[in-house]
Amino acid sequence: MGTSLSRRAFLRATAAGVGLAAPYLAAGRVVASPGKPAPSDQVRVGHIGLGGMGSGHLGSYCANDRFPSVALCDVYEPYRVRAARRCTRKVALHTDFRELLDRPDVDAVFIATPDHWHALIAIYAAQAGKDIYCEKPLSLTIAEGRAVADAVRRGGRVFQTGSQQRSSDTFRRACALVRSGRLGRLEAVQVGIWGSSRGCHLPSQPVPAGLAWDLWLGPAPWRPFHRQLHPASWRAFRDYSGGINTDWGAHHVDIAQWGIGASLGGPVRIDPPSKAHRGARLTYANGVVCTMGAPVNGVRFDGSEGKVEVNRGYYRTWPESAWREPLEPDDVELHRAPGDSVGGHHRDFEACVWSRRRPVCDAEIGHRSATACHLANIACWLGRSLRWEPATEELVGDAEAARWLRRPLRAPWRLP
Amino acid sequence: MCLRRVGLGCLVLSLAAAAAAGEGGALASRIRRLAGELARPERSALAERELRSLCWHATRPGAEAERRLAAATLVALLEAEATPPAVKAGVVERLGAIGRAEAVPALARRLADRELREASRRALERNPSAEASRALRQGLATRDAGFRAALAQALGARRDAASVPLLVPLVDSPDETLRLAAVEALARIGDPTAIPALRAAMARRRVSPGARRRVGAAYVALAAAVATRGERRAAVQMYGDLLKGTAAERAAALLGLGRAGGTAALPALLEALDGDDRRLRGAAAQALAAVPGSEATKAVAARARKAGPALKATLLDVLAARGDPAGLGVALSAAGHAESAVRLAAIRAAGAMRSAAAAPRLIELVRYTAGAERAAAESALRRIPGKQVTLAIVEALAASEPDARRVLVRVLGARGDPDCLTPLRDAASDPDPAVRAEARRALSQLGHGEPDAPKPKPVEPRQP
Repeated sequence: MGTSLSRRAFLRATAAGVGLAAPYLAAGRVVASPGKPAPSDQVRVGHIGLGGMGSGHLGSYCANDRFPSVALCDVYEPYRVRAARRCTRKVALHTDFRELLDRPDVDAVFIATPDHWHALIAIYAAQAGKDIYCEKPLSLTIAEGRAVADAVRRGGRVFQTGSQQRSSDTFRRACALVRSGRLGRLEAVQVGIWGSSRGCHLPSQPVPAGLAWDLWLGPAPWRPFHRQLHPASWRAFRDYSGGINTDWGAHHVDIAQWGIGASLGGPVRIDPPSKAHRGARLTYANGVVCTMGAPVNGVRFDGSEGKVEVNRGYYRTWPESAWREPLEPDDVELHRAPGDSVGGHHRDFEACVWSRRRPVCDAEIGHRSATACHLANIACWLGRSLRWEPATEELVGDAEAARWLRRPLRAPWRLP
Repeated sequence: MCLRRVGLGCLVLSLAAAAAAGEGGALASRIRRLAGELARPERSALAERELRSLCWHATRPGAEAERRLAAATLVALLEAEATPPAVKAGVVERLGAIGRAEAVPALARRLADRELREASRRALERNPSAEASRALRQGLATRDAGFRAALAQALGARRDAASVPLLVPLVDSPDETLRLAAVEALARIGDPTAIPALRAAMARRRVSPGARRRVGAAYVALAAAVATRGERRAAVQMYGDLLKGTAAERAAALLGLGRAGGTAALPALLEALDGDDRRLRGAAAQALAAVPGSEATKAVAARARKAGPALKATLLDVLAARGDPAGLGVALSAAGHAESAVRLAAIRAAGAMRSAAAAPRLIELVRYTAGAERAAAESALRRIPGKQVTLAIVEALAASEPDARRVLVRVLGARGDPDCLTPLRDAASDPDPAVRAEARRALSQLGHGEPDAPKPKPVEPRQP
């Protein structure tokens, strides 16, 4: 059941001797004041998942007049309370995301839950007519990602995957140099991350007060609570995440695919880790091999006439002058976000919500990047090479591996 | 009591393992030993990891006999009365990863077991055999509405067309969970025979907003599936139903009509451009880009001609996405619009149509504008193929100012047309140093420059 923390409720609560935190003193502006946007010029935002990244998104919107936060949702009460205290206006609080999606006063949602929830909430949000900013990786399985991309396309929603490196000028320029041939023919890509997830064998512990554990698990197989799963370390376990490979892969493999020109495609062959390479190797149709787990800083593109290595706040080219080369019109057609990194990624989403264009990392792109990471994991888990057909999104010649493209959800949750 | 039972189970498993022989026997024996350890808390994590790896390895292509043996061993464990429940749960999960037809009877029997039925349902959902679908369909006879919903969900996930006649009656179930599961399963399966049932579900009154939304979304998904099957008339009728629905359904209907409705959808799409809801306007514009044929292009162009600046820019983007030269007239006239956003959209559209008829205007824009417009015109000129365009650019070179000459030379270099070589060589001795430099770069790109100095070898990157 949703609750609403308005100024009136606050005054009533304090009058009754129930102390609430000081920031609520500033709450209560519901109607636009002079000089502020009219409600029709606003996009009202709901936040689902208020942990680390969710808290960051809330920071950008809780005092935003054009995209005001109006509803917050988390399965953990202390997070809800902490988030509500940061808001200077009336916000509704929910434990169950479905209640938030039922609200007609929410136009767009930010999804920052654990990974195993991303796809389902995104699909429900698309069905409810909301525009969506969803944290990466887009999905836990390839089938989930496809379902998200289809639901977004069918519903005409604006969707931004939270792979904010696509809105970084540094990453964009590195990919532009590669795509425009400034480093010669692209021969190989090295990605400096690797780490898969594993089965979970943690013992049972008491569920902390204020945590809706069954709702935290949602579509994942039921298991008892353990503090390693909530709030922070769930990424180590296969039922909730693909590990570093999908967590960081949704950034660095995403950039690799941007530079390769495979944002809407994917690898055609995936080799598991071996003595020769610590991580998986993804081979693309143009012959470029992307090696994960390589000893590089971020992502390195190796061209026949030069190289570029790029990470957050870092870039390096060989030769050094390559970075300074001016790019001409039509050298590349890479989307430029109106700002840098997370802020730019938010601005790009906001601009697209108004213009109804596709953001820099829309659902299809987020799905394709996550797919490459999922395939790396499947090859690693099964210990064998896979052949992938990006056009049909099918594994070729390995019917048993194909079972990994989807995972049955725990009833009553299901992919619509 | 419980520990004694577990111990007995382990003993039985160990004895069984000891009885096995040969290579296959070794595999079966190992599986039984590891499965037995699943019931020992201090060993279960390691045993599960090993068992998982063993089973995954057995699924590799070309090792069918090994997979069958592993599955049969697991089935025997599941069927053995002495096997402890904790082991059975692990066995069911493994069968979900490797079992085929041989695993179905044992899993189907567990659908009646309250402890194992959910895990067994998931294992059957992953099982690629036709027998698994049959077992799930038979399971639908259960009286437990919640579990029937879970079975319906599994059949939907498998896109099991044979289950449609069983799922259709469930759409009228008084239980909302079961009703929604049936509706969504039918939408996923995508069989047109489900249309009347879902249409009735759409008309149902007194349902929660969440349930109504999910039925609407299922109807949209079914319409898309029906259109993909080529039954466009049925799909268009469904989208027509959705146009009377919520804003989200109307947006989906407009997009669907764009894909499936052909030119008959144009009036609805054009009308939606004038609505108050920007999301519906956006959906209509997106849909207009998908309607095939020049008639649609002309309709969009006509609407763009009369539109205000914001809509005009949007419709020019639609024309760009369509790429049909039938819209060139409106694009060229909008290239002189008072609003910069409209001018840029018009230039982009003119380039996207790749028609030589746009070249004179685009050359003019390169010659007499600056900044974003010049860049857009340059980009457009690079994209339009044809010797005629190259010659028009060459002809414009002599009469242009140096900064425009430099851009036109760059365009010639990018076009890579053999007819460009002579004018580029001429430009290499242009009085303006920037034009000369651009011409030399262009000639070099075309492989006709002065021999390059040897390129420095890339330095090996330092390890981070």
